[in-house]
Amino acid sequence: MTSHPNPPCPTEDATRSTVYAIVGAMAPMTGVELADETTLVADLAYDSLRLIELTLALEQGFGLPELPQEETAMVTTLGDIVRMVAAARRQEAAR
Amino acid sequence: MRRRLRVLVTGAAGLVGAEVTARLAAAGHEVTALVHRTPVLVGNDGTPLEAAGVRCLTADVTRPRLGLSEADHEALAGGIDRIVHCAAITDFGRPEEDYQRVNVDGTAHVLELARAGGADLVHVGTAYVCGERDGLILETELDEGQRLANAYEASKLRAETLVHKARADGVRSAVVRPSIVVGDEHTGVVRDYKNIYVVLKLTTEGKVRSIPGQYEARLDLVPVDYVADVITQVTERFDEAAGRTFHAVGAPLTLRDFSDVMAEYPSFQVPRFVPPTSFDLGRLPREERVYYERVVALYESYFRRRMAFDASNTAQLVARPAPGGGQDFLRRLIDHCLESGYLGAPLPGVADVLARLDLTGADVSGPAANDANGAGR
Ligand SMILES: NC(=O)c1ccc[n+]([C@@H]2O[C@H](COP(=O)([O-])OP(=O)(O)OC[C@H]3O[C@@H](n4cnc5c(N)ncnc54)[C@H](OP(=O)(O)O)[C@@H]3O)[C@@H](O)[C@H]2O)c1
Repeated sequence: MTSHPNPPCPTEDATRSTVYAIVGAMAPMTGVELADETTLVADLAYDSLRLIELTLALEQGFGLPELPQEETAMVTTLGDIVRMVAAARRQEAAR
Repeated sequence: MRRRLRVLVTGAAGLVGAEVTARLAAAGHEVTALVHRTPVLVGNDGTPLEAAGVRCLTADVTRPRLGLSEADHEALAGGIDRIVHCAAITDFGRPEEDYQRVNVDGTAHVLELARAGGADLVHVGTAYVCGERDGLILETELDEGQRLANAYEASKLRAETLVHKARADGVRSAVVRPSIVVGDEHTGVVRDYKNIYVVLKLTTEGKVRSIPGQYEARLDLVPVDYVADVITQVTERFDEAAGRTFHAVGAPLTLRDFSDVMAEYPSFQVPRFVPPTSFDLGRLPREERVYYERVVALYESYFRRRMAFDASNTAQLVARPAPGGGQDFLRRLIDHCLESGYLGAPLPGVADVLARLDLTGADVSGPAANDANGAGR
């Protein structure tokens, strides 16, 4: 994990479209228009298990190490996820 | 009708609290429903509660005076006869301090309210305060030096101990201890799919194929409507219930029962329970290992326990017969899951979704994403 050159520091905008794609494709409820305010549980029908699977998908999709439970537990909207993933990517890029 | 009571229900939006609120209101009592983040009350069958005689109050049990102003706290204390304390963190795997703040400090704050208003307390505990004890668990037993499996159980033991201690300075209380709360006794219907349901889903969908456990281990499942009936009766007949503890439990099912019933459903995978000593986490495929670590491991202790709960106090006080049913009840629960689509219609897996989005390669995340099987992490 350390032998490759650091990618440029990822920004929230660059992260956003991929996060939207993953969250939308994993969502139990389909056909919902996505925005930063969209809530995972109320709007997209995520339950606790699907949220764990979403965490897995984000980790694998972005090549991130395990996202800490304290952070994933605080997430309620799509915007929260964008910020969490962007922060994790910046941390990875800085390593 | 019995005397009209003024009752405060904490955790009133929760699975158990909403059903208790509905019963108390239907019986003509004046209910103050303490809510937290979710301000709406929805019954176990999914219908919103629109009972007359229910007033919602937003508060936070982790805060002194439940986060209310001094005047509001005083007014609340002065206007209630009984408190039914359901609010708690019930999911597993949260940081230890969350359980302390909500389950233990929250109970302390509710006890203060009871003391301030001279109200009686019905505390909702859990039968699993017995921890990893074996054999017959009595309602009269609490701290027997048992080993507790997780921070949830430990916090519920500390909370119940606080309730007992407060009796010395005059707070009258009764404790109701449900086992694992599941769907309605007759219809199998449940509002929230948590704990055992999540394990059912992971195993029947083949995402988790082996679990360390013993086929003779027993899980006690209790229908939510029965739990709500027991709590309601204890609340209404508090004078008889005061100072006592009531197990709200069902008929225990062995893991053999689970395995046999699951095998009757053609679309289900059936997990193998392997002796804990020969279970090797390292041999699981990455996906299964993650499900194991993040979900199944939280419940592992329950797949080894063989306790049975004595419910003499409940049998004596509560008119409704204790739920039985065993395997038939489990079939009813599963049938409801199939009807509601919780089971039997798996969503696409993580690998499929990422492949469909073309995210398994290096394009998004740099070289680390090539590490598809997680080797080296
Ligand atoms: N479910 C079971 O299998 C089971 C088994 C044995 C015992 N019990 C016990 O039965 C009781 C009720 O369980 P349940 O299944 O109904 O739980 P639940 O559905 O998770 O409901 C718990 C309620 O507590 C509220 N709450 C959480 N933090 C709070 C806070 N800081 N201030 C005020 N309220 C707060 C929640 O409101 P928000 O969601 O709005 O925060 C929620 O409505 C609990 O004491 C539990 O320990 C449950």
